[in-house]
Amino acid sequence: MSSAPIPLSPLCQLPAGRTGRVTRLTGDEGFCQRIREMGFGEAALVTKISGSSTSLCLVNGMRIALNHGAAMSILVEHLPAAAR
Amino acid sequence: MNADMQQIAALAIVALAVLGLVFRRRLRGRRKSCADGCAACPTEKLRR
Amino acid sequence: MAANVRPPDPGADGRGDLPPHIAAASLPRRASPASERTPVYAMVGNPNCGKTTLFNALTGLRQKVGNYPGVTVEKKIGEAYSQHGRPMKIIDLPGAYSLAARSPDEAVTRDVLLGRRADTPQPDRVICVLDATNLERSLYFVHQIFDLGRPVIVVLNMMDLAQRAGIEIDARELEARLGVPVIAGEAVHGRGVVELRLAMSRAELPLPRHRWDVPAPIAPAVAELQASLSEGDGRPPLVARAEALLLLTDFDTVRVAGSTPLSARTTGILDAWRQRWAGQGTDWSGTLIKSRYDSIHRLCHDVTRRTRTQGPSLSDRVDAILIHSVWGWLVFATIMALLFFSIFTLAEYPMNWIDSQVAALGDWVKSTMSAGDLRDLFTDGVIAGVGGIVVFLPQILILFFFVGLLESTGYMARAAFLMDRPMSRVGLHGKSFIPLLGSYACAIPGIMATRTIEDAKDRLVTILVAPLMSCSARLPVYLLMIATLLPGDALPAGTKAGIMLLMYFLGTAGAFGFAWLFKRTLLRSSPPLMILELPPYQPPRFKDILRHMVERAWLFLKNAGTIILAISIVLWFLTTYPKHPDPAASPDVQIAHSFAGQAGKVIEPLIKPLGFDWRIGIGLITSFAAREVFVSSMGVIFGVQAGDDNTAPIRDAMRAAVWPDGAPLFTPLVCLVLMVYYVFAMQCMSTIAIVKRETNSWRWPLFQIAYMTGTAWLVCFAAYQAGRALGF
Ligand SMILES: Nc1nc2c(ncn2[C@@H]2O[C@H](COP(=O)(O)OP(=O)(O)OP(=O)(O)O)[C@@H](O)[C@H]2O)c(=O)[nH]1
Ligand SMILES: [Mg+2]
Repeated sequence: MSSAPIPLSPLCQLPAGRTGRVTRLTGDEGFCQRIREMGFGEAALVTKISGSSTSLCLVNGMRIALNHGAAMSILVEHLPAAAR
Repeated sequence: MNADMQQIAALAIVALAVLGLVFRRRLRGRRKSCADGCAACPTEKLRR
Repeated sequence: MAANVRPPDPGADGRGDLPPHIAAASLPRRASPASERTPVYAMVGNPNCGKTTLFNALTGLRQKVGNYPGVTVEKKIGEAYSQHGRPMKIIDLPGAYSLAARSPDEAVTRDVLLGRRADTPQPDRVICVLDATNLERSLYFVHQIFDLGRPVIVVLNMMDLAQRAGIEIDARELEARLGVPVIAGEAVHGRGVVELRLAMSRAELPLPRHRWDVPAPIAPAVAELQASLSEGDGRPPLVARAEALLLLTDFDTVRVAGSTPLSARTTGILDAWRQRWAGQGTDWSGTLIKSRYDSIHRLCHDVTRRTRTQGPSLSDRVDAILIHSVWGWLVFATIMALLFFSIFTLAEYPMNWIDSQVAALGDWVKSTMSAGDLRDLFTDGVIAGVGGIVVFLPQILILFFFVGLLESTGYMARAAFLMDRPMSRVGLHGKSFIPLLGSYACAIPGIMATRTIEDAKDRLVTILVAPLMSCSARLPVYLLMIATLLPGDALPAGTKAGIMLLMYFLGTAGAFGFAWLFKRTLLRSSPPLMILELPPYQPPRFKDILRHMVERAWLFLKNAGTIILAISIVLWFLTTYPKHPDPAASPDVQIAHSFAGQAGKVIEPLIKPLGFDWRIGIGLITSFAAREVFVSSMGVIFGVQAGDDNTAPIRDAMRAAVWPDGAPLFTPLVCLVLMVYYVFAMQCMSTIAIVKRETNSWRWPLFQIAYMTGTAWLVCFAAYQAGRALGF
């Protein structure tokens, strides 16, 4: 892991093609719970496939679509481009 | 068939149609399987 | 540490051969012979993992299968026979990610599993279907199911897809670790079905043996709640434990506990623990989920092997185009255009053929029977009414073919993805578009499909606007009006398809507009968050699509042969009796004298501002039963009026129709306005019944009738008057 400070941002700002690690979930409890239950919780690796307002992500081999509000409430740390 | 006979027969058919419409629900209840795999179909029709 | 919470103490390391508790648990079963009661199996698993495919293979039923999450939204009961010929009940359930249900379809699954549905027996055994390409997430739900303490059979489905993705799963090892039968299979290809039936036939099935300790901070709470639930609330011990865990994961206590409220003791314990954790800052729900996932993770690590790392799959490459913000829309528009174009071009040949057969039948009756009422009943009532509607069968089949194609390839979920942006403008999310897209075929399954929407208000908004999407029953009305509007075959199919596309667009725009309005007024709520899984693309299953088309065709013909037939006969009577005193009166005078004519005159003032006369009014009334009845009513009315020596198609009779002052009735403007009326008006009894059932009150269906038909009247009034003012 690189020692440089890792930028933390909502998932919707992760550039397409990049991978991040989920660090924190905000948003309402029910939503956080479901995200975790789907294996998308803290420490999960997410690769953004595409998305401007609606994001398409790859998590654990499943393609998950999130709307803007949902992607906003998932905070990720950006991993170096080669991490995938 | 003459006109009077035809009239009687026609009216009888109309009466049958009215009865059919009125008792539609009951007639339908006897149907065995669901014709359509549609989600709306109450499951009771699927048993048996 | 917390092993005492778990009622049957698991084997020491979860790897032994047959731990004592399994043998003990199966003792009572042996005492009461299995033949006494039909065993009940529940089929559970994540959405879109192939439960219904498996259910159909086991029971021989034909429940709907589709490649997107949320196809099944209600329990379905079927019967299969064991290896020894004994009957077994199987319940197919909606897909769920967790027992902590977030949407009404998941609640169905939870309630059936916990034995809370009065109309459904509590399942004795559970078949857990797993998606092998996604083992970890699938096991989370299974992990919760294990807490229910029922015998479980695990089916590892979609092994073909897993293999293609380079995932190898050791089913034997998984079986050893879980302590329950694990069957690898591919439901679509029928692999694993025989093995599953064999496993289901076993008189005794082991209880799950997978070891999982409730995390330390939570264990005392589980124990306390479990005791209180079984003593104070009378829950059976195993249900009590599962429910205790659920109460701690689900935030909505009422939702978890079902309709019977929890006892004061239980609520007290729950509140006390919640307060304590809130004080300590313990995220109990997160802890619980994490602990399950940790245990699952270890398990998966041991049983799966990645033979190769996965590059972008075919689905990823297709998605790069289909959900692209430009190409995606282009493809969507092309699919729609293709659909309408084929409705006009492809359907023409079978339609003309049916048309000529119907005409020939009418002529044959006329030439063989002597003149009289019975003959008129056959030609003007039965043949004109039923024949008029049967003609449109090909178009409806084409529509269902396209919808089936979208559903079975996996495009539905992509359409939802594309539509998320426009939908968010009106305050809904893309998932709401799946029911709306389904409503193009029929609003009834569309309204059922809204059960996948988590937020109650969003769901209600979607239910309210779904019938605005032009359904297949409007197709005959549109087609008839377009044929009347554009005589002859001279005009290119493109123009006709264009008008049709316009009507579909109008309905869709209306749905969006009203959703926007309702979200801002009646049913205000914050913008919803959407999580939607996009399934991998699958080749279309033409056999399933064809079967569905045959079913729809049969339904359509059956409707035509029963309800529409009866309505046509009654309408013939109403347009023929009482007879005019002068037997030589012209058909026009006669029909005006009839019951229908007299009733029509009463309603005419109401619809005259829209450019409709009383004959159209009769059609509007009869089509309250179902929209396509309008077409058969026009057939009967104009057939009666056309008199004896004419078996021309309805559209010709309609084109010749005039007002009493001689002005043509079906001017192009009136044809268009009539189509617009059908776009908006709520004209379907079955939809009303379903909305009543789904919303549990008469309030919303009545509101729906009022707002939709009111809008239809106002829009048509404005359009007709404006059109007149412009000189059309
Ligand atoms: N490749 C492959 N596809 C499968 C298999 N089993 C089912 N499918 C496909 O997966 C899709 C979903 O199947 P369904 O049976 O509708 O899934 P379900 O679990 O009932 O889904 P919901 O009712 O939405 O929860 C369909 O397109 C099936 O054809 C399998 O073993 N292999
Ligand atoms: Mg299903």
